[in-house]
Amino acid sequence: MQIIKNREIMQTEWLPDQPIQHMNSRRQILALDTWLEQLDFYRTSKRREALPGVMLQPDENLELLKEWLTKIPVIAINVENFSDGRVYSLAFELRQFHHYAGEIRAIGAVYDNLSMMEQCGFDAFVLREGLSVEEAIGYFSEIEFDYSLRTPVPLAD
Amino acid sequence: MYQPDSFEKEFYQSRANQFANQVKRYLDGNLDADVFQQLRLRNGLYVERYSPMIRVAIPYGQLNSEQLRALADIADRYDRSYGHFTTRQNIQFNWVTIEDSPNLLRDLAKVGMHAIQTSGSCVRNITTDHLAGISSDEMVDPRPWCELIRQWSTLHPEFYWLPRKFKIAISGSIEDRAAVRFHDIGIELYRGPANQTLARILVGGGMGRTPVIGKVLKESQPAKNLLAWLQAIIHVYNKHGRRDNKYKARIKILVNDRGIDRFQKEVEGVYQKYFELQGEWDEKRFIDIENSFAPPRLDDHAVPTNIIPVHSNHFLKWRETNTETHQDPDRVIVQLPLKAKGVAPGDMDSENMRNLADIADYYSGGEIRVTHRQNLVLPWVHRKHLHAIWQHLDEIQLATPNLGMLTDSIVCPGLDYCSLANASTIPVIKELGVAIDDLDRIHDIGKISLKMSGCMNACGHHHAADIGVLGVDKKGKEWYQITLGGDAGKEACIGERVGPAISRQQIVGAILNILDTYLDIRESGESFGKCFRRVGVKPYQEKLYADHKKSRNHADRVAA
Ligand code: HEM
Ligand code: SF4
Repeated sequence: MQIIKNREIMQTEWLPDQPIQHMNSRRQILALDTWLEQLDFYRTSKRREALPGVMLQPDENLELLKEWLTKIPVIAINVENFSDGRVYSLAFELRQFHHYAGEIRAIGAVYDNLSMMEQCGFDAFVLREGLSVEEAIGYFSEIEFDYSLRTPVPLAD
Repeated sequence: MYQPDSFEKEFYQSRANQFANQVKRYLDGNLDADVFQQLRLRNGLYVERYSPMIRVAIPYGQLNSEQLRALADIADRYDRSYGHFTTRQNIQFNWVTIEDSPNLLRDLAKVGMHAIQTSGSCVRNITTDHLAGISSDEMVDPRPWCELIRQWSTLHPEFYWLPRKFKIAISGSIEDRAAVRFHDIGIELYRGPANQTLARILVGGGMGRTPVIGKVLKESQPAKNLLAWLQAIIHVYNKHGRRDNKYKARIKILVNDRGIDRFQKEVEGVYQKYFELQGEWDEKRFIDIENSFAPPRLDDHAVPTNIIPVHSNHFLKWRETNTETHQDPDRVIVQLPLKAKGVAPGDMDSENMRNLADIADYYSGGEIRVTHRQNLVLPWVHRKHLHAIWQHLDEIQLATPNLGMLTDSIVCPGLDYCSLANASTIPVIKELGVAIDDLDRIHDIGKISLKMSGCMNACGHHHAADIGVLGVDKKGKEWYQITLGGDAGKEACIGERVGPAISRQQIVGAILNILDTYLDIRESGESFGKCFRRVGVKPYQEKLYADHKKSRNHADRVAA
């Protein structure tokens, strides 16, 4: 699957919601409840060094995940609705409040707002179907300028 | 005054170019309509009853003459040669096209103006006291703080998609001229014992269909921590504000649902985190912003001494009504009500914009202010020029001596433009102006606020007026609900309903009826608000509906 990662087009092996026979494949993104259900299994499994990825909904509470964050390689956030600002705060919390260092991937209704998403901590994007990935790379640099750089309160690194 | 630099102008240009691309994709069918709607709203573009409309920000109400001329050019090029000043220190152009709008934005960018975040569910234009930096009751000049917050909130990556619109107002004087208690966040600045700048932060105020007075979230906070407080409040709102019902989506609903205490605790928790993230306070940068608000260099042209102006009654009345005491004893604040008879409140044509720009250049350091009462202000007029400037203003109909009086009313666009309206507003106010076309009578009534909204969204602030008029729909007909005794200042309160709605034919008469009652019962020098608190709604009610019934019976008899 093609994604934009760190402003470049690339293939990803991390795929959401694999059928169960792929359970041992290393690169899965599971819905949070499945993820929690199977956490113990993965944690004790000798065959993997990292935990599977997890998929969050806009209203998810990070408390449940907090202690595992350093071991989760990918967190996908489902942008259910283009104008749902909660996903921005969620990514911001992951990066700034919890110092999450893995990939934060936006999936779902991902359109034009890549630059703002990036400033909040997203570094990977699965565009909504039908949009041109090549064109979307250009959206990052449409506006080079950002006031938050000039304010005394830094937003993201 | 703050002057946008080349860096900012480039930013606005690139934003206009970005929008041009979005418009093109939309018109080519390559961008979904619902996504385009959200993108255009954040560029100030509405699609209204008869035409698209664009709302241009005038940050904290401050304009220079070059910008006013640019607005005049835009009015000629893209609209029908006029613009409409609103209560939130914006100007609206009511007759634009979607195709033209990117070029309109490019023209604005050339003079450091824009329409970013003037609509849509995001942090809107920051408003403040239109007399900031010149009023005689000022404790802290709010403008540098407004500018700081403006920069911070512009394209703020975390807070660009809030549950609903978000309005912030700041005041730093004894009298509140910015209606901070009716904003999502209201900030009052004052001085602490060591002369440091402190902030009182109010949250959850608003008008609309559920009018609420803002509640104090924090007292005596060092102003330099304001941004961390704002981030914490808006973070909590962004996460928990309702997104399932747009009528319950404003922060006031969240604050009321949780109760101010619980809301405050939640904000405090998040505040700590933002506070820790916040870098060292950049004093130098703030001082740079402060310095950009230094008074303009004024050229006080000499006045010929051999001419002694004849101080006509007209002039004296104007001076008494439309001018105010300035911080600088040599200067006077000159107010320009955009409420001449027969003109829609807040409207100004391009010719008058250019006339006024010339007057501002000569007499007021090139600066003009926009007020939340849909008026303009010349902030730097020298005392000795008062008579001369009055003559110029009188010539172009900007010297109607009615500031703060009945005919200086605030009125939303209503049915004339707005697709949400239940009833017309501008024609009612014009009719009232004709019915009471007597300056002496208006002066006899004295200071009074009449505000009118065409529907319960309350764009005309009718809840916060001595006399508030709200347009309602009854079986497809225009009716009006009257409320009395509201106030937008420090003693903020919401107007009380007088009784059943009044028809379109009778609304002007009903307003006159209420004025008559007031004149009958007021004690000498008693303001409408004070009188209302003494007597309540009853005498108004009795008189209005008794007379109303009489005239209805009369009408029935005539009809029969
Ligand atoms: C013609 C296009 C306009 C539309 C479609 C419009 C729409 C709205 C809506 C839907 C609300 C209610 C928001 C809520 O309660 O959540 C509102 C509130 C408001 N509008 Fe407008 N408006 C328009 C023009 C104006 C104008 C011309 C002014 C200034 C004169 C204005 C000033 C305000 C103010 C001050 C509020 C305050 C209510 C609040 O924030 O609680 N609007 N508007
Ligand atoms: S109060 Fe209603 S009618 Fe008036 S401008 Fe606002 S939305 Fe339109």
